[in-house]
Amino acid sequence: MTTEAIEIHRLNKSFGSRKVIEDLDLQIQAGAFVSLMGPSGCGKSTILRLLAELEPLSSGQISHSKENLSLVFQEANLLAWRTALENVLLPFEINPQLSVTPEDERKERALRALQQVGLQDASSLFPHQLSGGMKMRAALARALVTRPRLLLLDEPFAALDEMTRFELQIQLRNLWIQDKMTVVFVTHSITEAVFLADRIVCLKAPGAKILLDHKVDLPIERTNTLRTTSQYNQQVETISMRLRS
Amino acid sequence: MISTFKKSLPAIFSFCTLALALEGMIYWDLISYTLIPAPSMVLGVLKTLHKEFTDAFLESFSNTVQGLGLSILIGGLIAIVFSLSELLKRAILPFAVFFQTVPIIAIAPLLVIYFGFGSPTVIASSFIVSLFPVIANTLIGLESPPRLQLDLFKVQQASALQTLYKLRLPWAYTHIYAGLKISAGLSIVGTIAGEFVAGGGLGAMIDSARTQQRVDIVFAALLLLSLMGLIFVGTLAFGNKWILQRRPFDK
Repeated sequence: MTTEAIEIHRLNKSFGSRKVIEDLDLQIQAGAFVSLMGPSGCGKSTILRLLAELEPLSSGQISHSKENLSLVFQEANLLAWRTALENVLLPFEINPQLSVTPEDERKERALRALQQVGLQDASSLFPHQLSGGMKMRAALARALVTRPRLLLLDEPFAALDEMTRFELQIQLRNLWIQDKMTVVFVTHSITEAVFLADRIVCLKAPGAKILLDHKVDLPIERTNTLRTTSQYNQQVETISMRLRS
Repeated sequence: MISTFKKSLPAIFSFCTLALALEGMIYWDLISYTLIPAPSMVLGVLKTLHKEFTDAFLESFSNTVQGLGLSILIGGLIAIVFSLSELLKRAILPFAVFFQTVPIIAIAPLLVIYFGFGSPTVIASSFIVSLFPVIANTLIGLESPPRLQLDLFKVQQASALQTLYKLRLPWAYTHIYAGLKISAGLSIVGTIAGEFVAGGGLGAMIDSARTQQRVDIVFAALLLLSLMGLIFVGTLAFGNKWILQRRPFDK
Protein backbone atom coordinates (compact mmCIF):
# COMPACT_ATOMS: atom_id res chain seq x y z
CA MET A 1 0.00 0.00 0.00
CA THR A 2 1.34 3.44 -0.92
CA THR A 3 0.99 6.59 1.10
CA GLU A 4 0.07 9.93 -0.43
CA ALA A 5 1.96 13.17 -0.24
CA ILE A 6 0.30 16.55 0.16
CA GLU A 7 1.12 19.33 -2.25
CA ILE A 8 -0.21 22.79 -1.41
CA HIS A 9 0.46 25.44 -4.01
CA ARG A 10 -0.28 29.18 -3.68
CA LEU A 11 -3.23 28.48 -1.42
CA ASN A 12 -5.52 31.36 -0.52
CA LYS A 13 -8.51 31.31 1.76
CA SER A 14 -10.65 34.23 2.82
CA PHE A 15 -13.69 34.49 5.04
CA GLY A 16 -15.45 37.56 3.69
CA SER A 17 -12.84 40.29 3.50
CA ARG A 18 -10.56 38.57 6.04
CA LYS A 19 -7.65 36.72 4.43
CA VAL A 20 -6.84 33.73 6.62
CA ILE A 21 -4.38 32.02 4.30
CA GLU A 22 -2.28 33.92 1.80
CA ASP A 23 -0.19 32.28 -0.94
CA LEU A 24 0.74 29.25 1.14
CA ASP A 25 3.13 26.72 -0.37
CA LEU A 26 3.68 23.51 1.56
CA GLN A 27 4.74 20.00 0.65
CA ILE A 28 4.36 17.07 2.99
CA GLN A 29 6.06 13.78 2.26
CA ALA A 30 4.16 10.55 2.30
CA GLY A 31 4.38 8.80 5.65
CA ALA A 32 5.59 11.92 7.47
CA PHE A 33 4.43 13.06 10.89
CA VAL A 34 4.08 16.82 10.58
CA SER A 35 2.88 19.22 13.19
CA LEU A 36 1.29 22.53 12.21
CA MET A 37 1.88 24.98 15.02
CA GLY A 38 0.93 28.52 15.73
CA PRO A 39 -1.15 30.83 17.86
CA SER A 40 -4.96 30.76 17.83
CA GLY A 41 -6.41 32.26 14.67
CA CYS A 42 -3.29 31.81 12.54
CA GLY A 43 -5.13 29.53 10.10
CA LYS A 44 -3.80 26.10 11.06
CA SER A 45 -7.25 24.56 11.63
CA THR A 46 -8.45 26.14 8.38
CA ILE A 47 -5.64 24.37 6.51
CA LEU A 48 -6.83 21.08 8.01
CA ARG A 49 -10.44 21.79 7.04
CA LEU A 50 -9.31 22.64 3.51
CA LEU A 51 -7.34 19.38 3.31
CA ALA A 52 -10.49 17.51 4.43
CA GLU A 53 -12.54 19.48 1.88
CA LEU A 54 -14.81 20.83 4.58
CA GLU A 55 -14.24 24.35 3.25
CA PRO A 56 -13.91 25.51 -0.35
CA LEU A 57 -10.57 27.15 -1.11
CA SER A 58 -10.55 30.69 -2.48
CA SER A 59 -7.70 30.04 -4.92
CA GLY A 60 -4.62 27.88 -5.36
CA GLN A 61 -4.23 24.13 -5.36
CA ILE A 62 -4.21 21.26 -2.93
CA SER A 63 -3.34 17.87 -4.30
CA HIS A 64 -3.70 14.70 -2.29
CA SER A 65 -5.92 11.66 -2.45
CA LYS A 66 -9.29 12.37 -0.85
CA GLU A 67 -9.96 8.72 -0.29
CA ASN A 68 -8.68 7.07 2.84
CA LEU A 69 -8.63 10.25 4.85
CA SER A 70 -9.62 10.53 8.49
CA LEU A 71 -10.07 13.58 10.63
CA VAL A 72 -9.97 13.75 14.42
CA PHE A 73 -11.57 16.88 15.84
CA GLN A 74 -10.89 19.01 18.90
CA GLU A 75 -13.78 17.24 20.59
CA ALA A 76 -14.29 13.49 20.53
CA ASN A 77 -17.48 14.06 18.56
CA LEU A 78 -18.97 10.66 19.34
CA LEU A 79 -22.64 9.94 18.69
CA ALA A 80 -24.28 9.80 22.14
CA TRP A 81 -26.79 7.08 21.20
CA ARG A 82 -24.14 4.65 19.98
CA THR A 83 -21.82 2.53 22.10
CA ALA A 84 -18.05 2.94 21.70
CA LEU A 85 -17.99 -0.08 19.37
CA GLU A 86 -20.93 1.21 17.33
CA ASN A 87 -19.22 4.59 17.02
CA VAL A 88 -16.09 2.90 15.70
CA LEU A 89 -18.23 0.88 13.27
CA LEU A 90 -19.86 4.06 11.89
CA PRO A 91 -17.42 4.64 8.99
CA PHE A 92 -18.27 1.17 7.61
CA GLU A 93 -21.93 2.21 7.47
CA ILE A 94 -21.52 5.60 5.81
CA ASN A 95 -18.27 5.55 3.86
CA PRO A 96 -18.96 4.24 0.32
CA GLN A 97 -15.44 2.75 0.05
CA LEU A 98 -15.88 0.80 3.28
CA SER A 99 -19.50 -0.27 2.96
CA VAL A 100 -18.49 -3.35 0.97
CA THR A 101 -16.54 -4.71 3.95
CA PRO A 102 -18.15 -7.96 5.19
CA GLU A 103 -19.96 -7.80 8.54
CA ASP A 104 -17.55 -10.03 10.47
CA GLU A 105 -14.50 -8.17 9.15
CA ARG A 106 -16.04 -4.84 10.20
CA LYS A 107 -16.48 -6.05 13.75
CA GLU A 108 -13.04 -7.60 13.88
CA ARG A 109 -11.41 -4.38 12.65
CA ALA A 110 -13.43 -2.21 15.02
CA LEU A 111 -12.54 -4.37 18.00
CA ARG A 112 -8.87 -4.32 16.97
CA ALA A 113 -8.95 -0.52 16.68
CA LEU A 114 -10.46 -0.29 20.17
CA GLN A 115 -7.78 -2.64 21.44
CA GLN A 116 -5.06 -0.51 19.82
CA VAL A 117 -6.18 2.47 21.88
CA GLY A 118 -6.73 0.41 25.04
CA LEU A 119 -10.52 0.52 25.02
CA GLN A 120 -11.27 -3.16 24.53
CA ASP A 121 -13.14 -3.39 27.84
CA ALA A 122 -15.28 -0.32 27.16
CA SER A 123 -16.69 -1.34 23.78
CA SER A 124 -20.27 -1.65 25.04
CA LEU A 125 -20.29 1.64 26.96
CA PHE A 126 -22.06 4.77 25.72
CA PRO A 127 -20.07 8.03 25.41
CA HIS A 128 -21.60 9.54 28.57
CA GLN A 129 -20.18 6.58 30.49
CA LEU A 130 -16.63 7.29 29.24
CA SER A 131 -14.09 9.77 30.64
CA GLY A 132 -12.72 12.59 28.46
CA GLY A 133 -9.59 10.58 27.66
CA MET A 134 -11.57 7.45 26.83
CA LYS A 135 -13.85 9.44 24.51
CA MET A 136 -10.83 10.78 22.65
CA ARG A 137 -9.41 7.26 22.42
CA ALA A 138 -12.69 6.07 20.90
CA ALA A 139 -12.52 8.96 18.41
CA LEU A 140 -8.98 7.91 17.53
CA ALA A 141 -10.13 4.31 17.07
CA ARG A 142 -12.92 5.51 14.78
CA ALA A 143 -10.35 7.36 12.69
CA LEU A 144 -7.94 4.41 12.60
CA VAL A 145 -10.51 1.75 11.72
CA THR A 146 -10.65 3.10 8.16
CA ARG A 147 -6.89 2.43 7.86
CA PRO A 148 -6.33 6.01 6.70
CA ARG A 149 -3.32 6.93 4.61
CA LEU A 150 -3.79 10.53 5.67
CA LEU A 151 -4.71 11.25 9.28
CA LEU A 152 -5.59 14.84 10.17
CA LEU A 153 -5.81 15.80 13.84
CA ASP A 154 -7.05 19.18 15.04
CA GLU A 155 -5.77 19.78 18.60
CA PRO A 156 -7.31 16.49 19.71
CA PHE A 157 -5.70 16.42 23.14
CA ALA A 158 -6.11 20.09 24.06
CA ALA A 159 -8.97 19.54 26.49
CA LEU A 160 -7.40 16.59 28.33
CA ASP A 161 -5.47 16.53 31.58
CA GLU A 162 -1.68 16.29 31.32
CA MET A 163 -1.32 12.62 32.26
CA THR A 164 -3.94 11.49 29.77
CA ARG A 165 -2.47 13.79 27.14
CA PHE A 166 1.01 12.30 27.60
CA GLU A 167 -0.39 8.78 27.41
CA LEU A 168 -2.37 9.49 24.24
CA GLN A 169 0.60 11.21 22.61
CA ILE A 170 2.68 8.06 23.05
CA GLN A 171 -0.18 5.91 21.79
CA LEU A 172 -0.62 8.06 18.70
CA ARG A 173 3.10 8.05 17.96
CA ASN A 174 3.23 4.23 18.29
CA LEU A 175 0.21 3.83 16.02
CA TRP A 176 1.98 5.99 13.43
CA ILE A 177 5.15 3.87 13.71
CA GLN A 178 2.98 0.80 13.12
CA ASP A 179 0.97 2.07 10.15
CA LYS A 180 3.21 4.82 8.73
CA MET A 181 0.30 6.89 7.45
CA THR A 182 0.84 10.59 6.74
CA VAL A 183 -0.11 12.56 9.84
CA VAL A 184 -0.85 16.27 10.04
CA PHE A 185 -1.25 17.27 13.68
CA VAL A 186 -2.44 20.76 14.58
CA THR A 187 -1.43 22.09 17.98
CA HIS A 188 -0.48 25.32 19.68
CA SER A 189 1.87 23.61 22.12
CA ILE A 190 5.59 23.54 21.30
CA THR A 191 6.26 20.64 23.68
CA GLU A 192 3.49 18.55 22.13
CA ALA A 193 4.67 19.34 18.61
CA VAL A 194 8.29 18.40 19.41
CA PHE A 195 7.31 15.21 21.21
CA LEU A 196 5.02 13.95 18.44
CA ALA A 197 6.30 15.18 15.11
CA ASP A 198 9.32 14.74 12.89
CA ARG A 199 8.74 18.06 11.24
CA ILE A 200 7.23 21.20 12.71
CA VAL A 201 5.77 23.95 10.55
CA CYS A 202 5.13 27.14 12.52
CA LEU A 203 2.59 29.54 11.10
CA LYS A 204 1.88 33.12 11.95
CA ALA A 205 -1.11 35.38 11.53
CA PRO A 206 -2.18 37.09 9.40
CA GLY A 207 -2.16 34.96 6.28
CA ALA A 208 -0.76 31.72 7.78
CA LYS A 209 2.77 32.62 6.70
CA ILE A 210 5.38 29.97 7.40
CA LEU A 211 7.56 31.34 10.16
CA LEU A 212 9.62 28.26 10.70
CA ASP A 213 9.99 24.83 9.10
CA HIS A 214 11.92 22.68 11.53
CA LYS A 215 13.07 19.07 11.33
CA VAL A 216 12.86 17.42 14.75
CA ASP A 217 15.99 15.50 15.60
CA LEU A 218 14.72 12.88 18.03
CA PRO A 219 14.56 9.07 18.01
CA ILE A 220 11.70 7.42 16.12
CA GLU A 221 10.26 5.88 19.26
CA ARG A 222 9.14 8.38 21.86
CA THR A 223 8.57 7.52 25.51
CA ASN A 224 7.79 9.57 28.60
CA THR A 225 11.46 9.51 29.67
CA LEU A 226 12.29 11.48 26.52
CA ARG A 227 10.51 14.49 27.98
CA THR A 228 13.22 14.91 30.61
CA THR A 229 16.21 14.47 28.29
CA SER A 230 18.39 17.41 27.32
CA GLN A 231 18.03 16.43 23.67
CA TYR A 232 14.24 16.96 23.82
CA ASN A 233 14.46 20.13 25.87
CA GLN A 234 17.05 21.51 23.49
CA GLN A 235 14.66 21.01 20.57
CA VAL A 236 11.88 22.78 22.48
CA GLU A 237 14.25 25.60 23.38
CA THR A 238 15.53 25.97 19.79
CA ILE A 239 12.02 26.37 18.42
CA SER A 240 11.02 28.61 21.26
CA MET A 241 14.01 30.91 20.66
CA ARG A 242 13.51 31.01 16.91
CA LEU A 243 9.86 31.92 17.42
CA ARG A 244 10.80 34.67 19.85
CA SER A 245 13.40 36.10 17.50
CA MET B 1 -44.19 1.47 38.82
CA ILE B 2 -44.04 2.06 42.58
CA SER B 3 -41.72 5.05 42.11
CA THR B 4 -44.13 6.50 39.49
CA PHE B 5 -46.96 6.13 42.01
CA LYS B 6 -44.82 7.80 44.69
CA LYS B 7 -44.04 10.68 42.34
CA SER B 8 -47.76 11.10 41.60
CA LEU B 9 -48.74 11.13 45.29
CA PRO B 10 -48.62 14.94 45.71
CA ALA B 11 -50.89 15.38 42.66
CA ILE B 12 -53.31 12.69 43.90
CA PHE B 13 -53.32 14.29 47.33
CA SER B 14 -54.09 17.80 46.02
CA PHE B 15 -56.82 16.42 43.72
CA CYS B 16 -58.52 14.59 46.61
CA THR B 17 -58.21 17.65 48.87
CA LEU B 18 -59.79 19.88 46.24
CA ALA B 19 -62.61 17.38 45.61
CA LEU B 20 -63.34 17.11 49.35
CA ALA B 21 -63.29 20.91 49.77
CA LEU B 22 -65.66 21.30 46.84
CA GLU B 23 -67.98 18.63 48.23
CA GLY B 24 -68.05 20.47 51.57
CA MET B 25 -68.66 23.89 50.03
CA ILE B 26 -71.60 22.59 48.02
CA TYR B 27 -72.95 20.64 50.99
CA TRP B 28 -72.96 23.84 53.10
CA ASP B 29 -74.36 25.89 50.16
CA LEU B 30 -71.27 28.07 49.79
CA ILE B 31 -71.35 27.39 46.04
CA SER B 32 -74.44 26.59 44.00
CA TYR B 33 -74.43 23.07 42.51
CA THR B 34 -76.03 24.58 39.38
CA LEU B 35 -72.71 26.30 38.69
CA ILE B 36 -70.24 23.70 39.92
CA PRO B 37 -71.48 20.19 40.65
CA ALA B 38 -70.36 18.32 43.75
CA PRO B 39 -67.82 15.57 42.99
CA SER B 40 -70.40 13.06 44.26
CA MET B 41 -72.87 14.33 41.61
CA VAL B 42 -70.22 13.91 38.92
CA LEU B 43 -69.52 10.36 40.07
CA GLY B 44 -73.27 9.74 40.19
CA VAL B 45 -73.86 10.86 36.61
CA LEU B 46 -70.84 8.86 35.47
CA LYS B 47 -72.46 5.81 37.06
CA THR B 48 -75.99 6.36 35.66
CA LEU B 49 -74.82 7.28 32.18
CA HIS B 50 -71.80 4.96 32.17
CA LYS B 51 -72.77 3.32 28.86
CA GLU B 52 -73.10 6.71 27.09
CA PHE B 53 -69.88 7.98 28.66
CA THR B 54 -67.94 4.82 27.80
CA ASP B 55 -69.08 4.93 24.16
CA ALA B 56 -68.38 8.67 23.90
CA PHE B 57 -64.96 8.31 25.55
CA LEU B 58 -63.95 5.47 23.24
CA GLU B 59 -65.14 7.39 20.18
CA SER B 60 -63.24 10.55 21.16
CA PHE B 61 -60.20 8.49 22.10
CA SER B 62 -60.20 6.69 18.75
CA ASN B 63 -60.64 9.96 16.82
CA THR B 64 -57.80 11.59 18.76
CA VAL B 65 -55.45 8.64 18.25
CA GLN B 66 -56.15 8.73 14.50
CA GLY B 67 -55.76 12.52 14.29
CA LEU B 68 -52.54 12.47 16.28
CA GLY B 69 -51.26 9.46 14.32
CA LEU B 70 -51.82 11.32 11.06
CA SER B 71 -50.04 14.39 12.45
CA ILE B 72 -47.02 12.33 13.48
CA LEU B 73 -46.86 10.57 10.13
CA ILE B 74 -47.53 13.51 7.82
CA GLY B 75 -45.86 16.13 10.03
CA GLY B 76 -42.76 13.96 10.38
CA LEU B 77 -42.58 13.40 6.62
CA ILE B 78 -43.04 17.10 5.89
CA ALA B 79 -40.26 17.98 8.35
CA ILE B 80 -37.93 15.42 6.74
CA VAL B 81 -38.65 16.78 3.25
CA PHE B 82 -38.08 20.35 4.49
CA SER B 83 -34.77 19.35 6.09
CA LEU B 84 -33.60 17.86 2.78
CA SER B 85 -34.75 20.72 0.56
CA GLU B 86 -34.22 24.34 1.54
CA LEU B 87 -36.22 25.42 -1.52
CA LEU B 88 -39.32 23.40 -0.56
CA LYS B 89 -39.00 24.61 3.00
CA ARG B 90 -39.00 28.24 1.92
CA ALA B 91 -41.88 27.62 -0.50
CA ILE B 92 -44.20 25.70 1.81
CA LEU B 93 -43.31 26.36 5.47
CA PRO B 94 -45.10 29.75 5.60
CA PHE B 95 -48.33 27.95 4.67
CA ALA B 96 -47.81 25.41 7.46
CA VAL B 97 -47.98 28.32 9.91
CA PHE B 98 -51.64 28.52 8.84
CA PHE B 99 -52.28 25.36 10.85
CA GLN B 100 -50.83 26.96 13.93
CA THR B 101 -52.61 30.28 13.72
CA VAL B 102 -56.09 29.53 12.38
CA PRO B 103 -58.74 29.03 15.09
CA ILE B 104 -60.03 25.52 14.50
CA ILE B 105 -63.57 26.54 15.41
CA ALA B 106 -63.51 28.91 12.41
CA ILE B 107 -62.73 26.19 9.88
CA ALA B 108 -64.61 23.31 11.54
CA PRO B 109 -67.84 24.13 9.61
CA LEU B 110 -65.82 23.88 6.39
CA LEU B 111 -64.59 20.46 7.44
CA VAL B 112 -68.21 19.33 7.93
CA ILE B 113 -68.98 20.46 4.37
CA TYR B 114 -65.94 18.57 3.03
CA PHE B 115 -66.08 15.39 5.14
CA GLY B 116 -69.66 15.26 6.44
CA PHE B 117 -70.84 14.62 10.01
CA GLY B 118 -68.97 12.13 12.18
CA SER B 119 -65.47 10.78 12.58
CA PRO B 120 -63.73 11.97 9.36
CA THR B 121 -64.36 15.62 10.24
CA VAL B 122 -63.31 15.09 13.86
CA ILE B 123 -60.12 13.30 12.82
CA ALA B 124 -59.33 16.09 10.34
CA SER B 125 -59.89 18.70 13.06
CA SER B 126 -57.65 16.84 15.52
CA PHE B 127 -55.02 16.46 12.78
CA ILE B 128 -55.02 20.15 11.81
CA VAL B 129 -54.64 21.36 15.38
CA SER B 130 -51.84 18.95 16.29
CA LEU B 131 -49.84 19.10 13.05
CA PHE B 132 -47.72 22.20 13.47
CA PRO B 133 -45.81 21.29 16.67
CA VAL B 134 -44.76 18.00 15.04
CA ILE B 135 -43.44 19.80 11.95
CA ALA B 136 -41.79 22.66 13.84
CA ASN B 137 -40.08 20.57 16.54
CA THR B 138 -38.97 17.79 14.22
CA LEU B 139 -37.54 20.34 11.79
CA ILE B 140 -35.63 22.16 14.55
CA GLY B 141 -34.19 18.82 15.68
CA LEU B 142 -33.26 17.69 12.17
CA GLU B 143 -31.48 20.97 11.49
CA SER B 144 -29.57 21.22 14.74
CA PRO B 145 -26.82 18.56 14.84
CA PRO B 146 -23.48 20.19 15.80
CA ARG B 147 -21.33 21.31 12.90
CA LEU B 148 -18.50 18.94 13.90
CA GLN B 149 -20.78 15.91 13.71
CA LEU B 150 -22.00 17.00 10.28
CA ASP B 151 -18.33 17.42 9.29
CA LEU B 152 -17.61 13.89 10.43
CA PHE B 153 -20.29 12.56 8.08
CA LYS B 154 -19.01 14.78 5.28
CA VAL B 155 -15.42 13.57 5.68
CA GLN B 156 -16.69 9.99 5.50
CA GLN B 157 -18.60 10.92 2.32
CA ALA B 158 -21.98 9.95 3.76
CA SER B 159 -25.01 10.56 1.53
CA ALA B 160 -27.77 12.99 2.53
CA LEU B 161 -30.04 10.04 3.35
CA GLN B 162 -27.39 8.35 5.52
CA THR B 163 -26.80 11.63 7.32
CA LEU B 164 -30.56 11.87 7.82
CA TYR B 165 -31.20 8.52 9.45
CA LYS B 166 -27.85 7.98 11.15
CA LEU B 167 -27.34 11.50 12.49
CA ARG B 168 -30.19 13.98 12.01
CA LEU B 169 -33.08 11.73 13.10
CA PRO B 170 -31.42 10.30 16.23
CA TRP B 171 -30.18 13.80 17.11
CA ALA B 172 -33.74 15.15 16.69
CA TYR B 173 -35.19 12.58 19.10
CA THR B 174 -35.58 14.90 22.12
CA HIS B 175 -37.09 17.64 19.93
CA ILE B 176 -39.53 15.16 18.37
CA TYR B 177 -40.56 13.97 21.82
CA ALA B 178 -41.16 17.57 22.99
CA GLY B 179 -43.29 18.19 19.88
CA LEU B 180 -45.29 15.01 20.51
CA LYS B 181 -46.08 16.09 24.07
CA ILE B 182 -47.49 19.39 22.81
CA SER B 183 -49.35 17.74 19.92
CA ALA B 184 -50.90 15.06 22.14
CA GLY B 185 -52.66 17.72 24.22
CA LEU B 186 -53.65 19.74 21.17
CA SER B 187 -55.06 16.68 19.38
CA ILE B 188 -57.65 16.33 22.18
CA VAL B 189 -58.57 20.01 21.81
CA GLY B 190 -59.00 19.45 18.06
CA THR B 191 -61.17 16.39 18.63
CA ILE B 192 -63.55 18.18 20.98
CA ALA B 193 -63.80 21.22 18.69
CA GLY B 194 -64.53 18.86 15.79
CA GLU B 195 -67.15 16.97 17.76
CA PHE B 196 -68.93 20.22 18.67
CA VAL B 197 -69.78 20.73 15.00
CA ALA B 198 -69.64 17.22 13.55
CA GLY B 199 -71.21 15.31 16.45
CA GLY B 200 -70.18 12.18 18.33
CA GLY B 201 -67.92 11.55 21.31
CA LEU B 202 -67.49 13.59 24.45
CA GLY B 203 -67.62 16.87 22.51
CA ALA B 204 -71.19 16.23 21.41
CA MET B 205 -72.12 15.16 24.95
CA ILE B 206 -70.76 18.44 26.34
CA ASP B 207 -72.60 20.40 23.64
CA SER B 208 -75.92 18.70 24.33
CA ALA B 209 -75.47 19.01 28.14
CA ARG B 210 -74.88 22.74 27.63
CA THR B 211 -78.34 23.14 26.07
CA GLN B 212 -79.87 21.34 29.08
CA GLN B 213 -77.80 23.24 31.69
CA ARG B 214 -76.43 19.87 32.94
CA VAL B 215 -73.14 20.98 34.49
CA ASP B 216 -72.72 17.55 36.10
CA ILE B 217 -72.51 15.94 32.63
CA VAL B 218 -70.12 18.65 31.41
CA PHE B 219 -67.85 18.14 34.43
CA ALA B 220 -68.00 14.35 34.07
CA ALA B 221 -66.95 14.72 30.42
CA LEU B 222 -64.14 17.10 31.44
CA LEU B 223 -62.93 14.56 33.98
CA LEU B 224 -62.84 11.90 31.26
CA LEU B 225 -60.99 14.28 28.94
CA SER B 226 -58.39 14.87 31.64
CA LEU B 227 -58.08 11.12 31.98
CA MET B 228 -57.57 10.87 28.23
CA GLY B 229 -54.85 13.52 28.43
CA LEU B 230 -53.17 11.62 31.23
CA ILE B 231 -53.27 8.40 29.18
CA PHE B 232 -51.58 10.17 26.26
CA VAL B 233 -48.94 11.93 28.34
CA GLY B 234 -48.35 8.81 30.46
CA THR B 235 -47.93 6.58 27.42
CA LEU B 236 -45.49 9.06 25.86
CA ALA B 237 -43.50 9.39 29.08
CA PHE B 238 -43.36 5.61 29.51
CA GLY B 239 -42.29 5.12 25.88
CA ASN B 240 -39.67 7.86 26.21
CA LYS B 241 -38.23 6.31 29.36
CA TRP B 242 -38.18 2.85 27.76
CA ILE B 243 -36.31 4.16 24.70
CA LEU B 244 -33.83 6.28 26.68
CA GLN B 245 -32.95 3.34 28.89
CA ARG B 246 -31.81 1.52 25.76
CA ARG B 247 -30.39 4.43 23.75
CA PRO B 248 -29.26 7.65 25.49
CA PHE B 249 -30.48 10.08 22.82
CA ASP B 250 -30.72 12.80 25.45
CA LYS B 251 -27.07 12.76 26.61
